[in-house]
Amino acid sequence: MFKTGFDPVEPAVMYEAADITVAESPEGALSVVTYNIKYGGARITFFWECGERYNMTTDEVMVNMEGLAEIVRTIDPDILMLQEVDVESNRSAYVDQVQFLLDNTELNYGAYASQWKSDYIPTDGLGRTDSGIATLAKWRLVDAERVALPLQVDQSSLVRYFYLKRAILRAQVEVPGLDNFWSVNTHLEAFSDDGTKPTQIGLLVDELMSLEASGATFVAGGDFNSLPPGSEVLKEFVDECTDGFAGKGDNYEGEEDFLDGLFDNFSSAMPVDDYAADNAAWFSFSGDGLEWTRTLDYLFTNTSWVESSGIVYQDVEQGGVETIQWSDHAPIYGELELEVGQ
Amino acid sequence: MNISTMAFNAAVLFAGTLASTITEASPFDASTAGLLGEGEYSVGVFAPLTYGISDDLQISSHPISAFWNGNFALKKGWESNGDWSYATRHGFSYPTRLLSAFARDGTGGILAPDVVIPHIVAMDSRGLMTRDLGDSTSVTLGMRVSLAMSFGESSWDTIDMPLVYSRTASLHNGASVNLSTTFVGDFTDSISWLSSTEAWYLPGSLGAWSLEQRLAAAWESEGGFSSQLGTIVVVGEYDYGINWHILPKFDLGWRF
Repeated sequence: MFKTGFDPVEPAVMYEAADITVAESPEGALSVVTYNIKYGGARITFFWECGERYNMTTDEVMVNMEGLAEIVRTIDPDILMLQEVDVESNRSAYVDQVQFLLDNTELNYGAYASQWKSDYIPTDGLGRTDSGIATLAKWRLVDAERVALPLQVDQSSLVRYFYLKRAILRAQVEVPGLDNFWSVNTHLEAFSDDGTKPTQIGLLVDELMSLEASGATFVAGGDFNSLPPGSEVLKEFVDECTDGFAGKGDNYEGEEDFLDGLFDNFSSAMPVDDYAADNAAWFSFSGDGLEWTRTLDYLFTNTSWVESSGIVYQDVEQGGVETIQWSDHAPIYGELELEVGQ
Repeated sequence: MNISTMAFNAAVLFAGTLASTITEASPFDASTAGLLGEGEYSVGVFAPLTYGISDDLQISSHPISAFWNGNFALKKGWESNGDWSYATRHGFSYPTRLLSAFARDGTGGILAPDVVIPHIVAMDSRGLMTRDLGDSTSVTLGMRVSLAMSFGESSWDTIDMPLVYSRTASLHNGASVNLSTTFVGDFTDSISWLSSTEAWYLPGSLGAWSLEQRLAAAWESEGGFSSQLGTIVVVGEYDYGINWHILPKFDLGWRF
């Protein structure tokens, strides 16, 4: 009745910028960003993060989206993978954030896969919700599909009916001179204690293995809601919110090896040794907007990164742009090495 | 997130009380110019408690939501003119408490708890004209105008839910208009049917129109108990755009 379900595999929703900007062929490297934009909520503290706000006004959303667009314009990636992007949600005043970013950056084409869709969610004033993941690129995206991930099993059937439904968004990017190149974008489960998160990570690894076996090259990114190996702090973060969405704080104890399948098989824009040497330089999440406290966002590829190109755009000192006021996540950047002749 | 089975129940109750308070969807003759006889009562789970003061005047109020949504309506039958019979219905309500009850966090939070609901006085007037089409079928043409006045600070979202959006639009924007055509007939002495088409015009709303098609069948015992089951197809414009829904329609009623 509230239209909350998805097929196991279904076509992504395709977008185009209002004005297409002619994109030149990449020379030597392809720049990629993954960015969880918190549905344009910037640093408004919502009820699910121990705040008092619920739904935003149109003016608030537009100001925040312009702030995010300015960051994207500054970084100017060739491919942008977004998480927590709303396209038709009451909480974000029904602003189509995919279209906004296409129309206000140099990116031309987009593919969107919903992760949370309901004609009406009768709780916390949420109302109509359509929020998910999107991949934006300067070049056309084709064969874009939403691949459903398994749902949490420790919820009642009614909660599951209205709850988030995680997915992988895969799309072939028609980068000039680069054949069979794919983007894989996802936002994995945050609060499950029932094994859903490692199962979803395992399916992501399978998806990437399958692409590699088919001869494809890819970049995979997103908010994996897991800490990297070598993390010094696993719980009791300084920005802990225990009265929020899940009713508990973040605790990653026992999850230290969740991402091994990704780090073991693919190349990370964040070298794991560099992370071990300095966790804080790679932090990409901040609960309270005062400081970055943990790493939840990643970029992987089955080709190689330009050496030292990986960076988390944290602030002026690291990346050249202040980002902490525009989302609870920072953009993660990397440059894929393009071999001569590609 | 704190969602439970109460969330669904709350949504259905909310839609049901608002819708049925205004539409008198059950029993079917409440959708026509027909009235209860003097001294008769009728009541339904979703339909209002109705009392026939005289053969041409009845009063009604929804008992479940009366505490939160103070409401009453008068329905007056007028002299027939040829084949047509006429009635007007005038309803008044104070929906502020009901809306405030649903502005809450967690389960049943149809509105966010940080909204500001003003004092709202709402009036709903409709004219109904019915004529028989043969022995067991009738047609009713209806026109309904809903008006509302708000007092004090107001900051609350539209409720972008089928049936509810159209019925709360006047509470936001002051007015709405509804035109309807209803056919009622009998399959047998105890089983009747209804087919009703309603068109809403919602001036001032981002979603300016809504169409509703009801199909239902009802069984009524000799003792006055009735049950009805059917469906409502809603196609309409909301704040976000056009959408459609197929909803169940059911009620239990008693006439005594």
